Amino acid sequence: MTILFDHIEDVRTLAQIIVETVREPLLVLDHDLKILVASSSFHKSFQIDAKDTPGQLLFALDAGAWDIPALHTLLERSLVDQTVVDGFPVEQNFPRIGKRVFLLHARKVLDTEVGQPLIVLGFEDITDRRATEREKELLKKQTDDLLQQKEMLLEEMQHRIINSLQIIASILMLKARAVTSPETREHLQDAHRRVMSVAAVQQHLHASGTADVIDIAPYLEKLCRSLGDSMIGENRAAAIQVTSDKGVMASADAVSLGLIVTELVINALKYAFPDAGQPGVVVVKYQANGTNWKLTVSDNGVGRTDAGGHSGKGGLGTSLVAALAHQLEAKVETTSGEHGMNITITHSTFIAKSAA
Amino acid sequence: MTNAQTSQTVLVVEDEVFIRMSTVATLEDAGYSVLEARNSADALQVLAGHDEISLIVTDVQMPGGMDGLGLVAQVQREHPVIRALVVSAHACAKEAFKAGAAAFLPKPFLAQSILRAVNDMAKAA
Repeated sequence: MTILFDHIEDVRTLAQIIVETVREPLLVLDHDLKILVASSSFHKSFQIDAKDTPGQLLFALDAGAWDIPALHTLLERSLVDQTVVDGFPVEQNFPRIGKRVFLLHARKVLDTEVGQPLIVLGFEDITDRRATEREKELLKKQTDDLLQQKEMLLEEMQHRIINSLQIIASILMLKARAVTSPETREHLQDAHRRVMSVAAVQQHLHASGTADVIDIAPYLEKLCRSLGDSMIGENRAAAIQVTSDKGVMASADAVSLGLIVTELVINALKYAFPDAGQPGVVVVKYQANGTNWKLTVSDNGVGRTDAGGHSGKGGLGTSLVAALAHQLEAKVETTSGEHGMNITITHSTFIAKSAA
Repeated sequence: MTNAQTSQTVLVVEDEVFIRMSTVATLEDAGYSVLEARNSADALQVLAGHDEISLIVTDVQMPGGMDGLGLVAQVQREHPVIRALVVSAHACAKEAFKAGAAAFLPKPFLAQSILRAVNDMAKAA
């Protein structure tokens, strides 16, 4: 439909049509802020009878619900200058429709016929949007609170695990001091080292703030430093060297890997260098390729001996390594010679990066 | 370690009896005179009666009104010459140093590690 506006009356008619058809509530106010025209949607939204609005002062409307000082100021300023009201928030309890939230938009127009300014006032009902926003904010706060609670519980749990492991390690150490049998003392000290190996994983989890994966390189370095501290005295020339690819491992698997390293390093330091003055070196090497990995623990000691326990007679250490390797779906290979011993734990179908 | 260092008196503050016992044993084996306390309140009482204490090893989380960090802060105010080593399963090294600790050792620790940390403090004392 095309309408041509040749006369001012046509323009007024158009304005009336717009006011009548617009979906958002709309008012046209005169310079005294009395209602000249109100849209049907205004009457509908505020449940006000159409005959009650013409000539009514805005601030007297709806039992004075619109009598808001800040709105007074804004509209009066709009009449005087070109102040544009855009998104002025009004949260009010209306007699018939209850509590609503609106954004008000106002523009001054000039009525050329009477030479007085008018104000077109639009109402944007954001009650539902605001309620949704508040609901989202509340949900976010509840989620944040739950996450914080979870972190606190995790922190407390890790603290308790570490403290419990320290207590167990302390008991084993006290027992080791109390027993008279050197063999029993050695067993207790080994048990103490195994506990500390498990504890090292917990410490790394705690320090990294995660609950499920471990950075292998720093973990192995710290574990071996701890083993060296507990087993290499000032009078021994032995050393432990660690080389490790970067990579992460599930914490449960890291516990098993750490226990394997612990067993093999303890074994090497105990049996590979019967001469305390011998400059022995134990090398712990971890290679990773994707999810597959290979751990090698080697030494430059005396190799497997018939008399010794250097993985030679299937002692507890050997059984533990076999069981832990099986758990990790890895295979154990041992080679021994006059230049030392080499034990490889290979997970799945490891292929070194350079050979891949 | 020199005799002068290991003749120093250490106060070990730890609520877990086995951890306290093993720490005391480790330090005594190294030649230190060691006193013990189960919590901060106990520790303050022991300190009040023993001017010879020059080093403190304290846990953080202990029962009672004051934790180990509070203890360190109070000791630093009242006995600034005493050096404190804080041990904890919580990663709270920053808080420990802020309270006035000379060193921090995360749990779990080896006997050798705590001895080394105490020796370092004794040397600096």
